[in-house]
Amino acid sequence: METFRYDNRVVRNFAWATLIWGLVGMSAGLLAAVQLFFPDANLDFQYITFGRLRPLHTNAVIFAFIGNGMFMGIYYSLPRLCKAPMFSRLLSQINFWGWNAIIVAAAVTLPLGFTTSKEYAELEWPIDIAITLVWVAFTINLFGTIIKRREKHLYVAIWFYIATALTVALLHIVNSMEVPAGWFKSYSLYAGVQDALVQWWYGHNAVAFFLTTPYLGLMYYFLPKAAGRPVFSYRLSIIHFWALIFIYIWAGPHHLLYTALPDWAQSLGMVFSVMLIAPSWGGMLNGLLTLRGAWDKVRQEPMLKFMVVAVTAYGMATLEGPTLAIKSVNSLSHYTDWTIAHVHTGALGWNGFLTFSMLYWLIPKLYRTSLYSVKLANYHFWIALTGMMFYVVPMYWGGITQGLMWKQFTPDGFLQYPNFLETVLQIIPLYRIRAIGGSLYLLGAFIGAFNLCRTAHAGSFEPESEAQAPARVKHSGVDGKGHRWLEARGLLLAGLALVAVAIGGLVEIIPTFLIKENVPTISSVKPYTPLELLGRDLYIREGCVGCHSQMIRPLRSETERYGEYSKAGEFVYDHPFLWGSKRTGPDLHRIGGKYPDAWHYNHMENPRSTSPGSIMPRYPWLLTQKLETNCLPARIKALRTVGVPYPENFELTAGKDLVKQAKGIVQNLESGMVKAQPDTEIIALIAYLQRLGTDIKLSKPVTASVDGVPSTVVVNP
Amino acid sequence: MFQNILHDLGGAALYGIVSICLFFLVFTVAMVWAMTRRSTVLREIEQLPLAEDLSSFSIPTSVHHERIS
Repeated sequence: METFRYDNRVVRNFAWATLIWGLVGMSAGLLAAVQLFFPDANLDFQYITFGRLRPLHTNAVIFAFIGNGMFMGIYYSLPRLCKAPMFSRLLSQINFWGWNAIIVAAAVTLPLGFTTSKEYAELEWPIDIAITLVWVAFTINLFGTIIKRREKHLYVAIWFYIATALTVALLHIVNSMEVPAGWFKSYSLYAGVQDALVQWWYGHNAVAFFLTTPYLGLMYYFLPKAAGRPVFSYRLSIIHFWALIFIYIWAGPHHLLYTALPDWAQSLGMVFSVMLIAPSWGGMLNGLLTLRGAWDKVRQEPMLKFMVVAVTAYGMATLEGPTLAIKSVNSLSHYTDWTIAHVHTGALGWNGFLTFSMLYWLIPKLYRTSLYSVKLANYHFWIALTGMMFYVVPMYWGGITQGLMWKQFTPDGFLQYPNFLETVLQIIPLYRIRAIGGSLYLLGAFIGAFNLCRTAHAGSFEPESEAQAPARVKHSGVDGKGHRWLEARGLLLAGLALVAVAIGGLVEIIPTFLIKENVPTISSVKPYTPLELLGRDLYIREGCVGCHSQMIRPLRSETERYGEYSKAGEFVYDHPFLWGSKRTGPDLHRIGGKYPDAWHYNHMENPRSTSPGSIMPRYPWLLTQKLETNCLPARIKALRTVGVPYPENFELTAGKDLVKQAKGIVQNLESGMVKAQPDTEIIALIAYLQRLGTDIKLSKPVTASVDGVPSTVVVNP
Repeated sequence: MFQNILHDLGGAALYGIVSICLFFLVFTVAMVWAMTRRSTVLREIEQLPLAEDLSSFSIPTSVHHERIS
C-alpha cells in the first residue's frame, strides 16, 4: 500500500472562480437582455453596447463559468479515479492562474472592441496564443496523471476528459489561424465560405467538446457518487463515448444550412446531426437510470435535484438540436430566437445545473462540513428552474412567431410583413419576459453563492486529502482483451479518439479548400477599398454581426425581402466572414445602395429617428471619433498575406484613395442636409455599408480606381 | 425510395454514404468491444467513482443526508 495526498487547493480555487465568473457572466447576459427591449440601458457607453456585451457574456459563461467548473470537476475527479495526485502542482497552478488571466484579458479586450468576430473565438491573437499554452499545460497535467496512475483501469469519465483535451486543442488551433495586423488586430487565414465552415466546425464542436464531453465525464463521476451506486450500464457508456465523439465532429455544417456552403457539406451536417440523437439519449438515459431505486435521495439531496434537471435538460437540448438541424425546420428557426432558447436550455439547464450540483457537493467536502442550508439550496433550485422556464419558453414563442412572420405572404404573393421592424415589435413583450426569467436564474445563483460562502465560512478547508492504494502492477499486455487492453493504454486510446474526431473535420474541410468548383468565383467581385476596409473593421469592432446577418438564403421569403441570394463567390475577400447567425435586425448583405448615405448617418446617430420603435443601440461616438488610419498599411499587408490581391505597394497610396473616397461621401451627406467631418469613423462605416452586396450588380468593375482597386459604388441619395 | 431520399439530399451520393459507412464501422466496433467485456471487470471499473478518500470524508454533504442515514 502506498499513501499519497490529493491537492484540494486547485479544486477550491477553480470552485470559487466558477462561482464568481458565473455571477459576472450571467449579469452581463441580463444587461444584454434588457438592452434588447430598452436600448438606452447601455447609457450610450460604447463599451457595454449590445454588440460588445454579447461576446463578453458568451465568453464569460462558456469559458469562465463553465470552463472553471469543468477544471474544478476534472481536478477533483481525475486524481481520485487514477488513485494518484495530479502530475504536477506547478502545471495545476499555471492552469488555474493562466486560465483566469485569460478571462480577465477577455473581459478587458472585448468591451474595447478587440475582436475577431468569430463566435466563441472572438479573442485576439495574443490571447489565442495564451489559451494554447495554458491548454497545453492542462493536457500535459492530464496525461501525466494518467501515466502515473495506480489504478489499472481508466474509468469512462477519463476518456471524456481525454477527448476534451485533444479535440479542443485541435479546434482552437485550426480556427485561430490568423495573420496579425498589430497587437490587437488580425485577419482570419480563411475567407468567406471556408472561414464559415472552419468557424462552425469549431463553434459546433466547442459546444460538443467544451460544453458536453467534459460535463458528461463529470456526470459519469459525480452522479454515481451522489447516488451511491454505480452507473446504470458501463457497456452503454462505452458505446456512448465512441459514438458521440465520432458523430459530433461531422455535425458543424448544420449551422450553415441554405447558405452558400456547398450542398453536400450541408447534407452531411444534417445527416450526422440527426444521428446524434442516438448516443446523446443513450448517455442521458444512462445517467437517469443510474438513479433507479435511489429516487428517494433526489427528494432529499438538493445536489441530486440539480443533477436530474441537468441530465434532463441535456436530453431536451440534444433532441432539439438534431430537430433544428433538419433543413426544413432550420429554414424557419435559423436567425431567430429559437436558437437562443436552444442554447440556453443547454447552458442554463445542462451546464448551469450540473455546475451548481458539483459545487453543492464539493464545497462541503472541501471544507469538511455540511451544507449551510438545505432549504436555501432548494430555494435556489426552484427559483433557477422557474427562471429557466421563463427564459426558454418566451424565446421559443418569439422565435417561432418571428420566423413565421418573416415567411408570411399575402394571397397576392407579397410579403405580409415587409417591414422587418414590425416582426421585432411583435416579440418585444417576450424579450421582457425573458429578462425576468434571466433575473430569476441570476437571483438563484446569488442565493447559491451566499449558501456556499456560509458553508465554507463554517467549515475548515482541507488543503490536501490523504488516500491509499496499492502500487500499480505494470501490464504485461497479455492479460486483457479488447477494450480493456485498449483502455489500459491511455495514449493509444487518446490517439484513436483523435483519429475518430479528426476524420469528420477533414472530410468536410479539405474538399472545400481543394476543390475549386466548391467556391465559384465571380469576376466583378473585388477587394474592399481602404476606406471600406476600415469601415468593415469598425463593423467588426462594434459587433454588428451579433444582430445582423450577411447571408441571404435562397428562399423566396428572403429574396423578396432582401434581394438576390448570397453567392459563395461574393465572399472570397471576406477575412473573416461576417455571415452572422442571428437576425435581431435585418440582413445587411444587399444593404449597399438601398438607402442614401445621409440615412445611414442619421440612423447610426439615433436609429429611432429613421425607424421608430427600433431596438438598435445609438452609435453617437462613431460621429465624433476620428478614424484611425495609421494602421492601414499593416492591415493591407496582412490581408495581402492571407491572399487578398492588393497590388504591390498599394499601401503607399491607400491613404490618398481613402481621403478621396471619404470626400465623396461627405459631399453625398451634404446633399442630404448632413454636415460631417471626412475623418470620422462614421464615414468609413457608411462606405462599407454602401459597398455591401453591390459587386455582383456590376457588369464590369467601376472605372474610378486607384492602382487597379476600384473605389466604392457611390450611391446618390 | 432510399435512393430518392439520398438524391434529394444533394451530393450525398459519395460523401454521405462513405461517412455513414465509417460511422457504422466505428459503432459496430464499439458495440462489439462493449459486449465482449467480462462482467467481473466491468463491475470492478464501475465502482471506481464510489471510492472515498481516507481522511475527513465521513462527514455527510448535507443535513438531510445525516438525518436519513
